[in-house]
Amino acid sequence: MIRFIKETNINFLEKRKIFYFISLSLVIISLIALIVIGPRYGVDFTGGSLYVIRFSKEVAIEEIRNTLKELNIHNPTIQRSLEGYEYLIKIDLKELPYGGGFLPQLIEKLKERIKGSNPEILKEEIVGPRISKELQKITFFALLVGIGGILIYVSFRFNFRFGTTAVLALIHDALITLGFIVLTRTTVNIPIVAALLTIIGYSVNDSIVVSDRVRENLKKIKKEGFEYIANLSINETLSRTVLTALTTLFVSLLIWFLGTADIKDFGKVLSIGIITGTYSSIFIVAALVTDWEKRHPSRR
Amino acid sequence: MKGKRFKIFFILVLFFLALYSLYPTYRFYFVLPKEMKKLELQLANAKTISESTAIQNQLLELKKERIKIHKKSIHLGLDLVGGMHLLLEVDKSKLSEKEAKEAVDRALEVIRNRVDQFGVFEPIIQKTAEGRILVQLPGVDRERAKSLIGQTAQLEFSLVAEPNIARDIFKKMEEYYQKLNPADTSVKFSDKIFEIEGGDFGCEEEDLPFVENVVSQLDTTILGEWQILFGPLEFYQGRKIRRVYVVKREPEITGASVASAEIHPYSGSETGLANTWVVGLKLKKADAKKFASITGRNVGKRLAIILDKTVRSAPVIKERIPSGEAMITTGEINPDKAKEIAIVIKSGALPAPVLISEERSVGPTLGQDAINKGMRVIIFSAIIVFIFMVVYYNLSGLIADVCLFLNIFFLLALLSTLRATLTLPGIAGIALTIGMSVDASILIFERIREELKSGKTPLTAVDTGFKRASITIIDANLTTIITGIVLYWLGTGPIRGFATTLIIGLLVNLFTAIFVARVLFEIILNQFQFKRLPI
Repeated sequence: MIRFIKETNINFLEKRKIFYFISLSLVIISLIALIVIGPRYGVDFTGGSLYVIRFSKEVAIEEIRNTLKELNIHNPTIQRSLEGYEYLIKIDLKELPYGGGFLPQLIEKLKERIKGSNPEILKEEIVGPRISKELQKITFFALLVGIGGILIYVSFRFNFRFGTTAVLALIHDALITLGFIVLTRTTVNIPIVAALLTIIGYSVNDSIVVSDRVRENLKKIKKEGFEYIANLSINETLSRTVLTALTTLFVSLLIWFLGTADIKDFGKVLSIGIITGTYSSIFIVAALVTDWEKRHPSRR
Repeated sequence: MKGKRFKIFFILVLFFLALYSLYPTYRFYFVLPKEMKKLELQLANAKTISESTAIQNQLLELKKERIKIHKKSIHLGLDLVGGMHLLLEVDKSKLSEKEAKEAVDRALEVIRNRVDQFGVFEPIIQKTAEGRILVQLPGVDRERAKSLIGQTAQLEFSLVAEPNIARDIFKKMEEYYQKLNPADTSVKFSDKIFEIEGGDFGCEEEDLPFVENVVSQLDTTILGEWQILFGPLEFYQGRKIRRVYVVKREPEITGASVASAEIHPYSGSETGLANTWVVGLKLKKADAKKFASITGRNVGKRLAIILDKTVRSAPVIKERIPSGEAMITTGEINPDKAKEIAIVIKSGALPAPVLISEERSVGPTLGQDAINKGMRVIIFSAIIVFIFMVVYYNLSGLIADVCLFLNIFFLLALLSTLRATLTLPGIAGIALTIGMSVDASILIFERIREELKSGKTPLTAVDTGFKRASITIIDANLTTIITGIVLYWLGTGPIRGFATTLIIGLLVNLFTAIFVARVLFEIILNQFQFKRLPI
């Protein structure tokens, strides 16, 4: 029998103040990043247009910018993608070239200006002002309904305390992941929101495993204190918490490193979310319940 | 024992049902393309006519089968096959209340007609709940499709003003412009519009925005019954110009009078148009009479043929035209433009202009790239997880692997049965299902290990392990399914594909990891009577 994690008897709860400190600082850093820097929203939410163009050789971004200027586009965002000679061009709602014929013109001009570059349009996205507003609204509600749904389910399945702490942990995971998104300047589009929602649903799983065990042990072991039982439960479930997270993390890392641009960021956000989710279910959830129990005992 | 036989039978039935439902997908994506390529190669090398007709017949059969089984195989989203997703909004600002009510349905019908005649394989054209029009066209020439769908196709026949009337209006325009910009001496308006051969007027292409801007400010005190329109871009003595026309505001005849529109090569006497394509129009009977009397009354004048406020041509009326026939010249050797004009005129004008409020298009290269990379993620994920489970849990890990395989297999079968669409995020969803579905097995196996350690026999340990872990697994999967449902509701196209695979994958997971795995354990425990369970 192979075991990565032998039977452990680590006193997780003893050092819980340290982990509270770590979590709190990460949450505060994320909040500051969110408020001060703010997420970099993609066309889904800002409106505008996005073109992905592949060339057959390296092209100076300045050249693309000048070509766009000829077409009366003065403030585009141009980025080189990580893959090959692909370039992303984002055009603001204000300068959005309405009416057909813009792309063929752009390609013609690019061919003229940058000889032998064989520009090819890989992808084209245009989001009008009304759609982007709608997407903002619907995303906000989706996140709310997602968290609300989990809250209702968890509080229905567990007692109030476990439910609340599990949801606190979940918000903690989501916030830290958001902070990561802001600090790595990841463009926030619908797929990123999808990743966040997936994390919300998935990271609560490990909390459920730990909470289930605490509840089971509370019935089985009567003579020990709450802290001992909570700590025992974390240790008993440690290997499965880590293993289940690992298998899913493998996959999301593969999506991150092997996927195409669209799902690459999705995989990145998912990976970070899984890591923070696992961390919080080991170090935070049971610790919070223990402290709650200490202040306001519910047993005996 | 009897119950167990039934369970095995049940699983086998499901397995074969899944196999059956996936067979068309296999044939569509993996067999037919190869066979068709082979036949095409044979066709190219065919020596006799009878041989080539035989091959052609075979090809035809395959094409028929392809269309038939496409409906039964897994659908790939636009982000994988390439194509165009458009969300259109009808601009109702200039319509009356009654017109506005019917505008979307009418526009929907017109667009559907146009797309049908354009010949797209399995297009989607729907009215959305918000009153928009959704158009999804797999693998098309996007610019052509967009111009086909986007043009209003207002066809009008209007009389052209005599040159002296036009000169008079241009003069008034100049006075108006100078009054407005007295300081502006560097730009002389009269330089902008100049006379060209045949009593026509023109302006430089680069001056067009300037002239259009001035024209848009004019009112009826200057224009009277006339309006100023422009022709398409053309080359005149090596310059890029647009012809400028002064035409009657009220059209004599509109597109509603057109009975048919067909394309054919130009057969008239103008040498410049030799070898180019034209669209021949035939008017409805009653309107043909009207057309005859209009042309009879205006012999010697010019009649402008206007499509969407662009003057396509303005021929001189040489005689009364009783046949009700007219034509639109394109001046192009390539028939594409003529075909497009014929289609839009035949399917009728849109009740109002349509605006593109959302477009998401993916070229074919990117789609293929996405499929390849997505498959790579799935295969690597499967290999890593497969190996991990066997190494870590031995024979039991193998059982988990069998369940994992069945999970993906059933997931794909359900996707094709439910006619769900597989998108790029959907592929990520399948990969994620691989990672998440073994989570259930891990929870069960870790529990069984615990039970074994506490001294239980393999049989009872497996029994309690499954029972205890099942509740946790259901909890865990349900929370993720809840967010999956929210995602389905939030998402359009691609993300909906992710939500679908995630939800179905996790539901199937409950069945394979809890039910199938348990049956497999029972079989093995019965067969081998382990003293120590390899877990």
